[in-house]
Formats: sequence, C-alpha cells, structure tokens
Amino acid sequence: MNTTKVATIISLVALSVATNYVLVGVPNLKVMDFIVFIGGFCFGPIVGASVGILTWMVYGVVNPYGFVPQVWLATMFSESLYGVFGGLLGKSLVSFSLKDQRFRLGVFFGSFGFILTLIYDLITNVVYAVTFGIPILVSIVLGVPFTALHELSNVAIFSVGSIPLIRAIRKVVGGSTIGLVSTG
Amino acid sequence: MALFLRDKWSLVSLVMLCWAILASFTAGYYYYQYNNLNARVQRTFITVNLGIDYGNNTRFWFNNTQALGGMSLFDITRHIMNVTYSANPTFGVSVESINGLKNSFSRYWIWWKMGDTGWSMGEVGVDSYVVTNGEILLWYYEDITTWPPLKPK
Repeated sequence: MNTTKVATIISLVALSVATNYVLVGVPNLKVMDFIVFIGGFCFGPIVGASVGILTWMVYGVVNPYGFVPQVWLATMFSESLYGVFGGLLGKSLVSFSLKDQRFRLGVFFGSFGFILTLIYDLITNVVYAVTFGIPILVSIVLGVPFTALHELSNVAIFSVGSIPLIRAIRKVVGGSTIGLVSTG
Repeated sequence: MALFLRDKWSLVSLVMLCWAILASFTAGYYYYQYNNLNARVQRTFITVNLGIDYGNNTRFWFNNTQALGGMSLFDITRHIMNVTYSANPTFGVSVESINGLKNSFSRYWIWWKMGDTGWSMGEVGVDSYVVTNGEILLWYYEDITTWPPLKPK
C-alpha cells in the first residue's frame, strides 16, 4: 500500500468520523456510508473496506448511543460492504463516462445505495436482535421507520452526490488510481 | 452492472425492486403494529353498520365501520360524522345536530337499532349505549309530534 492510498484512507476516515459526529443528533442520517462507498469506488475494494472498518473503530467506541461489542463488530463488517461493493462497481464501470449518462448514473447509484443500505440494516438488526434476545423478525419490522429513513436518505445522497464527488476526487488525486474514463 | 446503464428497462426494474422492498417493509411494519395493537386491546375490534337518514329520502350507510369494544354509539357517531351536542350531568349527552342539520321543532334526531323484529327506538342515551359487533344502527331525522315516532322504512 503506497503513501497516496494511506493518505487517502486517513482523509476519508477523518471525514467520515467528523460528519458522523456532526450528524449525531439525526439518527440514521449519515454521509459516512456514501464516503465509504466512494472511497471504494475510486480507490478499490480494499481501500473502501478499510475506510468503513476504521471509521467504525473510532465512531463505534466513542459513540453517544453506547457501546455494544457485538453490534460494533457487525457495523464494522456491514460498513465495509459499502467499500467492497463500491470498489467492485468502480471496476465494472471502468469503461463508462461520467459525463454522458448523468441521470442514469444518478438513478443507478441511488438504487445501489438503497440495496447496500438494506443489507447493512438487515445485518445490524439481526445482530442486535440476537444480542438482546429479541425475535429477529420483530427487530426487523420494528426497525422499519429507521431503516426507511436510512435507505431514503442514502438514495438521495448516493444519487445526487456520487458523480460530483467522484469527479472532484479525480481532479484532486488524479485519474491513475480511478477506473473511470477520464472525461473531465 | 453495466447492463443497468445500457438498458433503461433494467434500470427501471432495479428502481421498482427498491420501491417494492421498501413498500413491503412498510406494509409489514403497519401489519405488525395493527396486530400488536389488536392484541393489546384483547382483540376487541368490532364492526358496526351505522346509517344516517336526513328525513328527505336521503340515507347514507357507513358499513363495516371499525370500532373498539366498549365504545358508545356517541363515540362512533362523533368519529364519522360532524356532531354538535350538549352534555348534562344527569341525562348525559344530547345530540343537537348531525352534519349541520340541527334539531328544530318538530324534527329531531332519533337513533334506532335493527333487531329481529325490525327497527326499535334507542332505549337509552346515545352515550350510554355500548355498541356490539355487527349491529345495525340508524340516525333518523324525523317528526316527533306523534309519539312514539314513526319507524324508519
């Protein structure tokens, strides 16, 4: 892992943690998922997963909502999925231009964010249920309002923010580490 | 993945899938909450058929109106109609108007219930009558210069 990647990971983790604390009063509305996803998309699955895990290492331990080891491990694992799938998506869209199909890409990123968030919420709800001895189905069903808020907010953030942030990162860091075709 | 960007219908399908998942989760949530509430009130949800007859051959029915066991006819009426009333500590609630149509000599609001022998006039005050499941009740705006008043048709 070269210094550019290390610096990128550190910057993204710092940004994730900082935005988490800024939005601590708004449960389930976070830009962390988006940052982890974009980290993976632009710099690969390993970097993305690292950003997710490291963010929760900090935010999960010093967390105003409390610390539960099982849930903490689950969130670290689930958060890393944003980075992993973001990285895989970045590689599969390597031949796509960000300029040509902005609307389609926006819708696609939003839908992708929705599905990743659904997986994240399902995993964390199941672990929460098992940890506290709550029936799994009840935990999932009762969590629907929070899950829905999390998913809808991520749909909005992913669909609107992905393309501008990917382009901005490419301008700052350069295109060598990013799979997308450089079209400005 | 690129398929979703090349084929617009694949993308539409993906969006619809997301919507279907969210809608199903939301439906599941409300279904659970409904059953939970039902269990908490010991499954005493009842349905009542409540009608209103304005005395001018205009009659509306609110069939299968859901209510909780223990609710009075006044509770249910007030829930689905616009009611003004006065309350007396001794005589209870007296309905003064329903849906803007006021009691005015010689026409008043009388409530009736359907039994085995047809309509029978309400025997107690509207707030004292606790409805039971499946009952058919009617508010009838009618002339009371003759007593007992005429039964609804």
